[in-house]
Amino acid sequence: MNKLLEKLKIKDVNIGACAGEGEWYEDPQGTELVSYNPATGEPIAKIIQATEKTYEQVVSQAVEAFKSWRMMPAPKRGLVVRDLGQALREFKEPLGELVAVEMGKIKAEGIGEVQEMIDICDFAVGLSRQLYGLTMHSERPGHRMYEQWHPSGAIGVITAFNFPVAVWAWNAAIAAVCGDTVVWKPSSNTPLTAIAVQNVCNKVMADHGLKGVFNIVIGYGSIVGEKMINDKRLPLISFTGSTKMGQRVSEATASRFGRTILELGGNNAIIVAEDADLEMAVRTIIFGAVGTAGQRCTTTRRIIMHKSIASELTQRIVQAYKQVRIGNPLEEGILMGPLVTKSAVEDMMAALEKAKEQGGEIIYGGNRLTELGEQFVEPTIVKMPAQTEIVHHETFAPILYFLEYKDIEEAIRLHNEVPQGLSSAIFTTNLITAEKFLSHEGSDCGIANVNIGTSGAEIGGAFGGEKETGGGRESGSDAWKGYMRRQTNTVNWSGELPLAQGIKFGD
Amino acid sequence: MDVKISLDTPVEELVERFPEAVGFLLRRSVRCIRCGEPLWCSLGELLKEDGIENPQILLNELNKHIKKTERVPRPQNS
Repeated sequence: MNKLLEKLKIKDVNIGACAGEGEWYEDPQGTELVSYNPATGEPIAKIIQATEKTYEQVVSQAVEAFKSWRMMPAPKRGLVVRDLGQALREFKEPLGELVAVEMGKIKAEGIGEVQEMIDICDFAVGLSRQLYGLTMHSERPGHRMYEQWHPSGAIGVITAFNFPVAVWAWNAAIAAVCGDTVVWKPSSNTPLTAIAVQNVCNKVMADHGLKGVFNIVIGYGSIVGEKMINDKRLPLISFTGSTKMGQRVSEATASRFGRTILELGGNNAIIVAEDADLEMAVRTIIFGAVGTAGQRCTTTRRIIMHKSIASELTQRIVQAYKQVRIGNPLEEGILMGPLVTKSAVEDMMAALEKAKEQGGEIIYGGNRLTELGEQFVEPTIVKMPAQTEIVHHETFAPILYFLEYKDIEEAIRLHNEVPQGLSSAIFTTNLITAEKFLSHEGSDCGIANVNIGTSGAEIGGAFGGEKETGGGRESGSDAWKGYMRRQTNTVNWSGELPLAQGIKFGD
Repeated sequence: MDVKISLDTPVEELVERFPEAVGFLLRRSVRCIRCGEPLWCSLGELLKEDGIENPQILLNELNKHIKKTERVPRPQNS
């Protein structure tokens, strides 16, 4: 463990506010945050949290750095992000391992998450030469009209524990090539991975003589988070977390006319049609429901299965659940680690009680695995008689609800009935059914897949969802536009002064 | 153990020190954590938002519950 921490320059006590190499800000008033290993319950290291004073120091640096960073040509900014991607390649293994140690996902997933950081850096490098604006034909003679995209400013990025590094990278790499500087508040459950990432950034930026582009403030949401969402110097807040908190972030940021990118709760379902390839469906369901111990935004939480195949599919999934090895996420062959906190375990158990009260029947799991540690649980399947109140909630744990349907219309109705709208999938070999699901009368989610699951998105697509998922888009496609401000320009080279709509004014 | 949870206690502190409070409150339809993360408000604000008519009574029950579970809380981050 010590060697791992040393490689990533994590100390016993770390400072939680930084604006670049040599720019770590400590306030004697800062409280200590202990990061625990969820698999063992042992403390890993401590952080001195940011205070209002150190928050001010960091944000001031970010705002100042923006003035010069925005003037660097975008392709040059891309080269800096290219070097960040290279540095992440060097730290892929230890950083991925630290993700597993601190957050509890298995090591392969931790390393995969760092790969996602590298991928988005590569994407951002290419993007740095493609921040295109449109040109329009002006209705006025001798006029040229076009739009351009300008950097927004110092932006706030607030991330959750479940993807402690990838979600930051989705935002930060894109924002950086767009010319923004980034102030990052990571989850208090995973502060050490954030410190490790900051260390990597600091070195890369120092090599380019830069600071204040990638910045960090670690602290309670009720202190640091509230400062960020109410800070007029941050024109954009990208928030990943719950619907409830997203509402708070949205209201506060909107009240000062700031913008938000919200990636909030999901309640993702897979419809398994009567003609589905069940072998493929089962493998997908296991990965989607059990992976990351059910703590992904895109975790598969509901299976809506056709009545005719319900019995066979249930049997196959239960059989597969029995094969899932649970334990220390660093061990080879383990597929599911612990939940992130003891609170998460309590939350799961209380949700299961509610499901039972609402007619649910636990057909697999449902128990704590205290012999493995306080935060280990069995992945659980609950057969529901109907889509009751508890099924409408997102419980961040490996609970999978089974529901049945008679025809595709009923399946889609059940699918869309929940308030969240992040990710969705259908397993079918029928083209008509697949197209119906993808059509405007089909899935109402931001992500809709056929014959692949709800999780495991690639960085190339825009990631996000509708309804209570918040409507934001991060990562690929044209999500970059969210990090810039659009400016419409009209240039008159005619020597005359014609008005739009043919208006004559004082002629 | 003298437990001192008040309506002013931040939810972040509550769930960190007394995880058992999460299940206790959820059984009374009060959700402290969402998407695995605690809400950024005080316990009093949360109880009000979740429609608890008499927060003081629930607070007393919560303190009794925490005391009864007899777990040593994690030290408050200080």
